[in-house]
Amino acid sequence: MTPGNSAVQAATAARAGSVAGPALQGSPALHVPLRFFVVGWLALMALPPALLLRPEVLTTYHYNQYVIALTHLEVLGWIGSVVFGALYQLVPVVLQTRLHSERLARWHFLCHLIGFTGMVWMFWEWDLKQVGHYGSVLAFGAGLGIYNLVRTMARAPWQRGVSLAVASALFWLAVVLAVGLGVTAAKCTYESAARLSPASPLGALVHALDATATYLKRFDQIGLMHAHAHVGVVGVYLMLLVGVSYKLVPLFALSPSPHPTRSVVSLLLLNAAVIGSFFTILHRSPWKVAFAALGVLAIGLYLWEVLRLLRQRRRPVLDWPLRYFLTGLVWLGPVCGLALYLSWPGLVLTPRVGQLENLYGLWGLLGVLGFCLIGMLYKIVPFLVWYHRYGPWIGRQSVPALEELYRHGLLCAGYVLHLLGLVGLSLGTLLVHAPTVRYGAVCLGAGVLCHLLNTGHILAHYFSKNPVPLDNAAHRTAVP
Amino acid sequence: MRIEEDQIWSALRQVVDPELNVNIVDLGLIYELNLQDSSVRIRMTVTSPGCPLQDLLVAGVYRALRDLPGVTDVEVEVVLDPPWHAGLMRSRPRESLRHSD
Repeated sequence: MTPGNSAVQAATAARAGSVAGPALQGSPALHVPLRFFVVGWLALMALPPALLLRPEVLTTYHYNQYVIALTHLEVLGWIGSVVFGALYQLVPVVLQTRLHSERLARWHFLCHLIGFTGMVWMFWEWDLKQVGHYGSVLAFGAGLGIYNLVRTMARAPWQRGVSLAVASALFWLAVVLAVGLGVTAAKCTYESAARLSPASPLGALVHALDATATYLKRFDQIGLMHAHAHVGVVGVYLMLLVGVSYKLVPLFALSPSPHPTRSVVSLLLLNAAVIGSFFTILHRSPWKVAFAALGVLAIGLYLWEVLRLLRQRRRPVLDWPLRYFLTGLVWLGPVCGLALYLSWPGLVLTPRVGQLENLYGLWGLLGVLGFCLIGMLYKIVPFLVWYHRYGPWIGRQSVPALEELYRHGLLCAGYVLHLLGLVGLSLGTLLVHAPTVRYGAVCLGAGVLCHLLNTGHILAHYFSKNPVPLDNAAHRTAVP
Repeated sequence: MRIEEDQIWSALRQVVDPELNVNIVDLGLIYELNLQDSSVRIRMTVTSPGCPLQDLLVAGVYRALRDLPGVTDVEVEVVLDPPWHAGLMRSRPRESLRHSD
């Protein structure tokens, strides 16, 4: 077997003394995922000041403009940005193909940035027509992203776990965008429909929106919002988390491959749970507990498989990024418990139940997804920077290890503060106590700041001096 | 100029897996080294199938060996069978992974 083209490119780059990095098995240029990650961090950083300003978003029922604005800030700005950046990076690498189009990815980024910032701003102002306009920009960008990733996947052979997870998540993303735009359309009025002819393009659009609004108004609006949220968070984000971690956990823990049947069954069960939950939540059916249980079963199977992989790992001590990620998986336990309780038939919506619903969302977004994404970012971003900056010098110059690209102390401080922040926010939510929410927001903000500083350290390596030449002595942990 | 096998092993130790911070020789990734006159043939593996570092490690091996005076031809073959396992690591690197905190 001869080395691949990229290996040859890497060798050539090093011989020429170039600092430009090699192409990483078909992944896009460094800036494509990186700009999504940077925007993601900034969106997360915006949350603590907003919670300090309005702690009532966690101490009151969640159907108000500020909660919806901040939820979209996190779900689209933080999680959505990081997830899309990671998808553009990982899908071509894992499937060993090339990204279909970097240009489309750049347009997607622009639409994503304009779309989610405008949506958050307009939710905060509660101007739903403008939410619809910005949401359309976001949806257009996400449509480009879906098309780009589907074309990328079509180039490569189907890989059971990862391909199924990514394909399912992209399908649910299309669904959640359509439902989200529908929900917005249902909250607007269309006086101009009477004046415009359905034969004209603008008239056809206004009449279609009017018809959508009339149709969706027959459903309970909170049920519709909850169904929309579940498709997005479980169908898109949790699906990707499960599928991608079947690939990444063995890679980082040096474990064997996951069991093919169990991994596919867990993804199929999760898909079934998303379909069932969507309709049962929408119709406030007592059967929603059955689909919640199906989702819990899927997650249980996934966690069992991850536990098996960790028990068989060949890396005795797990590093901090992986511990960060696994802490997110631990949060799945209480989230699943709350999901079962909150979907119990006949549960009456009391102020206490409302607070538990807030807690459910908080733990899902800042607990499960927050910890998992930050853990994985500490793997992906150093690797990307290292690959482009130091990759061409490997074997010829002394290059740092990935963990040497960031400050270990800042990572640990960020982890502890994130945990303290989440505990504070949870207590503040449960006790309906605004000062405790503020305490949690301060801790969370300090934690995110630690991670932002660390990200700065990592990115600074990209502009650092060339690595020093190696002497010919044996290098790193050489056996005498 | 005649090249010695020890020089090849020394050069290979300059290629370090950045995720584990251990060189590829001590990590047990080199399955076979064949030296004939000035030609070197390496049979190696990676820690997991689909490892994104595979191409870079192979390029690193090429670079490290081609820099050696007396080496004119380098051939690297990557195999996944038999799969890599921790038992292939030398004792000191294994200890360093155990205490990597």
